[in-house]
Amino acid sequence: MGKVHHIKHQETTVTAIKANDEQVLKKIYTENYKKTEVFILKNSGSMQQAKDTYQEAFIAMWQNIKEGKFTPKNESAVQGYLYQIAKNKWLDVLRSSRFKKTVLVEETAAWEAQEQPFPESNEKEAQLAKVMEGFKQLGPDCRELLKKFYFEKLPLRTLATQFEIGEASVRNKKYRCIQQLRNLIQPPTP
Amino acid sequence: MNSPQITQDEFETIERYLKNEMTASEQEQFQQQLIEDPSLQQKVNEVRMLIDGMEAATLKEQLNEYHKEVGSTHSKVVQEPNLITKPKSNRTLWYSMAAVLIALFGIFWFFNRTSPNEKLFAKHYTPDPGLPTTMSTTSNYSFFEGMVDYKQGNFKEALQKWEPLLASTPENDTLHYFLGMAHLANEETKQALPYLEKVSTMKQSSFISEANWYLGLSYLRLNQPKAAEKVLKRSDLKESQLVLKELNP
Repeated sequence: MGKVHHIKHQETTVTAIKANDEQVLKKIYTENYKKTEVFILKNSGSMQQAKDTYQEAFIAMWQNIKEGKFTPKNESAVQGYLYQIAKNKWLDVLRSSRFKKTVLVEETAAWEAQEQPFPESNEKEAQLAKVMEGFKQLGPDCRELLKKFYFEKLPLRTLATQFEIGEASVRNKKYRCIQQLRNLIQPPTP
Repeated sequence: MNSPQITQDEFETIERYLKNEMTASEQEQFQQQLIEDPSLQQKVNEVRMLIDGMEAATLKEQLNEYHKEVGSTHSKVVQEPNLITKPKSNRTLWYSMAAVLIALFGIFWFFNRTSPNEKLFAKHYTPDPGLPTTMSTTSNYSFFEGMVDYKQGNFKEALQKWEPLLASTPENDTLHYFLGMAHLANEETKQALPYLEKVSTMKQSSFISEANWYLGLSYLRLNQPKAAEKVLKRSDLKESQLVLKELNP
């Protein structure tokens, strides 16, 4: 896989993010963390909360770019977007029950209403969280295979060579792993 | 969603559809099927969710890896003071002991200097942490800009931004409350009084208890325990009751 070393154009940033290019993702992650951390620490958050919030925001950013909901013009647009999501997520935490007073103020309520530039369907987020939780519980073999296929986007043929089995076996194994994942998630019947 | 059976064939077909790997005619046929069979749409939604979730879960694992790198730079910063405070010679040890003695002396002097009411103030006063701030709206821009200053401890700047707002919103309890807070934090207790008094008369304000509490503390700082008692009784904060008890042991 060819690595993109210099990101200069919109095309490359978006394409690299969509392709889960390790170097690009890592660069965006490490270069922008501090800013979010400072914001959260200054606003009564802990280092752990800063990390969790930032990672949630990072995944949301990545998801929205992948789904075409957000098309950044350049890398700094990605940075601004990421910071904005993290900030909003943290403000949501601050507005939640733990900090009641801030919710009661009438003024803030009006200003809150406009404060959702990135509407997220909660149901979708909850389902996604369930799948992510189930994935963690899979065996290491399944996790490895699914990671290579869905995240690294390696073709089945390459996987067959890596696991030293036939292409059809990889395909079957992948299906079995997904069945396992579905069983782990066990969606409640309405 | 309850999950229907998805066979391996179905799964792989749906996957090819989602990844845009179908030929045009195949895609058209599949879309027709989608219209005719609502259960297929449900399956497509589930497969999409599964693929998204697996990808996101893997990304999350990666993020924890990336985080180790930002983490290492941080711990260096955190540990730095440790190295500095370690005394390298006997002389620095003596210096630091002398500094501690002077500090203790200072604290001793400070506590002897102040009245019991001021002590009570110092014991219970913690500044209001302020409101969360964002910069995205225009209407309250100056107010929240002032809030940023307030939270950073630049009370004078906060006051400069807030005071002009009084003209357009003379009945705004939030504004009055934080004007009082900024004066109090800036050790201008007398200037804080009128603002807090005003909020304490606004029965509908969500700040009424806090306003009475800080008003009581202000009177303590000014060594007027009787006035303090009167307003503290109007506040239903736990701390108010505590201070009242200390005033009348």
